[in-house]
Amino acid sequence: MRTHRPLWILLVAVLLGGVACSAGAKGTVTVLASWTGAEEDDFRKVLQAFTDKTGIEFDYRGTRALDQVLTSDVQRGTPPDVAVLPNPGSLAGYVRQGKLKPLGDVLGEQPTGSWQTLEKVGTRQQYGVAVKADLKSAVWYATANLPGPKPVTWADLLALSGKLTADGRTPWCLGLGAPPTSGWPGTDWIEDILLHTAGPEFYQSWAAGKVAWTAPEIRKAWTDWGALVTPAGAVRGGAAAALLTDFGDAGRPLFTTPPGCLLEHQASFTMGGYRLPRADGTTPEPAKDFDFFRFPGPQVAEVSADLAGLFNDTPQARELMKFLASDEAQRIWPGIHRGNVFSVSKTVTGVYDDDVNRRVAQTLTEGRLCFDASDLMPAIMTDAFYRAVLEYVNNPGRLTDLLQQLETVRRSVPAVDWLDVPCGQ
Amino acid sequence: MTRTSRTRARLVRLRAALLAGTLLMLVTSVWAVRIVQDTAETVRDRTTDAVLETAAARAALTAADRAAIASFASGEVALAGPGQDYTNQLATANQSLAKVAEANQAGGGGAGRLQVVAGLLAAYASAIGQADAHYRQPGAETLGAADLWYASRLLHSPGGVLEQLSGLQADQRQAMVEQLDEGSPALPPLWLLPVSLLAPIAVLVLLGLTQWWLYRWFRRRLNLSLLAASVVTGGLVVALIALLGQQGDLDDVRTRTDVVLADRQAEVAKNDAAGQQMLASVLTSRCEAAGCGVTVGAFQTAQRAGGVVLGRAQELIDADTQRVVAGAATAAESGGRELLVPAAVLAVGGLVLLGLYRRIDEYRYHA
Repeated sequence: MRTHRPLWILLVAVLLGGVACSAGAKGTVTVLASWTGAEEDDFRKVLQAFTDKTGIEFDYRGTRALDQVLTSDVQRGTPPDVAVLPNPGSLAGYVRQGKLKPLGDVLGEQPTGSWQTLEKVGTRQQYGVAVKADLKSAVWYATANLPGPKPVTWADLLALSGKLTADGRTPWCLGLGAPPTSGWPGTDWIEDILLHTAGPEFYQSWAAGKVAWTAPEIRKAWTDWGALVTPAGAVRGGAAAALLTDFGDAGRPLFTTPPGCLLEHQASFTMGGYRLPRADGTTPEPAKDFDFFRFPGPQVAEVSADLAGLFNDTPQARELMKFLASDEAQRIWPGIHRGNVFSVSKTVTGVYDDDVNRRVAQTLTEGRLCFDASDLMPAIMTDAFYRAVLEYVNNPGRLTDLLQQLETVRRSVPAVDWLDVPCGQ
Repeated sequence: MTRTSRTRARLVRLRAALLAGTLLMLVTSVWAVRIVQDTAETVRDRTTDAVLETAAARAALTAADRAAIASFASGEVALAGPGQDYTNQLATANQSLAKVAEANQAGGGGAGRLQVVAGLLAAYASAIGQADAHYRQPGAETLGAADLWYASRLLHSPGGVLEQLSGLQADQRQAMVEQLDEGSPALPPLWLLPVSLLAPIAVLVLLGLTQWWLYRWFRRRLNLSLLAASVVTGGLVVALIALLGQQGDLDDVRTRTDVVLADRQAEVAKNDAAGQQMLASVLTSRCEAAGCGVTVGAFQTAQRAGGVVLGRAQELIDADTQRVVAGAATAAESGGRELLVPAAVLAVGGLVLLGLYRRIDEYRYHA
């Protein structure tokens, strides 16, 4: 029998070539972020949707040492095409070094609002796209255990806390442990108090390093916090337990019987921790079992966000940035219904199942928003702030010394290292 | 064609076939020697180092953590800080990690894990320093205990240093398994090694047939050159079979490495059990009557449930490690094979030419 070997070889070659071309025809975009484990799985769903839509492949790398890995990649001249940074301070650092590309001509006209201001990280152009955001100005409680109406003013909150303590019921769940950044849950408290008592303009100046730590407004924010959490019986387990408890565990006693504590000041991601199975096998549900009230005072909120930045201006990377900014992408992660991921887009609706999630989403997209100040400060200042919180909880009597030490650090940081990011409105 | 010219043509064809077989033998035997030698040298110089030093770093870090906690538990910290043992063990761990970075076989993933470990270790050393400073400061002992706790969590928590090193160790071991099974990625896989025996066996058979044909056709005694070529080719077959035995030595290296990894794991478990139980006591002494909070409460319960863990004696672990290193060195001993094998094959080619030259030459003018 006569064979047609050359014909077969040609056919196989054409088929293989076709497969190879179809796999890489639209190219690949490299992405670096801090998400690993379950969060990585979720973010990969967003990236997969991008591939399905555009045909562009993605190469994702998730690492807990994002700062070190990105710094090293940038120094070697091989940054990823797109990196998602967990705070605006890091993003702004790369803008200053000229490593990030502005997104004006990539994204085109964007809807105005708080997030457009925040995504500029203190510059004239947009450099970041918020992939997900968190509300920090929130106080959480188990719906069955909140005695009386929700506090509306600082005086209400102080009175509620004092009454609960006097009744022998522990008002506050507090966990400051978060190695290697232990202390940050306390800095969120102080920032929130300062934002609501001194106002956004003062808060912005302070975050930009223009206000002395010894200023009376700042001292008052510390003592106000101290008035809530330092009296005996105000925090579950006292100062030692607050220092030793991980931030992710602090809210668990909200759901014990009897409750170990009644209120927790924490960012919206804490809902993920609340929805762990209880001893009786049930799982706390938003609205039915837990809820939040906004931080008492003026309607301004402290927020944080993971921001994607464009390091390599390739057509594939541009497409990804456009996709991440679109409502189509913004609704994927919140739509996974873990109840702790929020979009910054006003037009992403219908993905939040319950009233609690809807109110968090609404707060994140309406009204005046300010970035977490410690995320904007130079790293040396942020670290000192975290440490000062731990020292203060251990010994509130050291406040004067601590503020003086923080002020010494502030003065040592060159003016060029501070970021002046206005609150969005 | 006359009988004479047919004989000459047959002789020329035989010579061509033998030379072609010799050439094939040269290629396959040099290739076989190279892949085994390359693999053995990589395993000796890099892979065993990468695996064993990762395990050693894990063990040294748990020993450092245990030593630091013991210093805080005994009160030695007031005068000597976290102690000399802590400092020595941390230095040992850093040296091991430097060697891992140099010998890393786990690619970009391994390098990424090393970056994470480096960052977390810097934070760990800083937290121990903070704990030391606070323990010496009157009224700040509770904060010192919290710093000690934070430091220990950086090692032990999910995603912490020990988990990262555990993953890195698994990656390096997997790289070793792949190298031993498949050889260097730049060369054909090791399992093809027996194929290299085909060419010399074929040449040996061809030499035998030639010898037999010459004897039948020319009624001559044995052709000594071709006999010598057969002996050399036979030696080559023996050498290649010995090469397969060398691959067996490499498998021994893998087995011995697993013994050391098990030893190190036992050492880590022993240090962990002792260190973490001491840490639970230190924390209990610093907490109020209401307890230490949810996180430490769960930790203390787990420590109470844990018993004493026994590890292997250090000298036995060292002896096992030495056996791995010696085994890898033995497996990489070539005995000059990389030169002797091609020389022997070239000699076979020369002997073939010599052995058939006189017979072909006799027919040169008869064609």
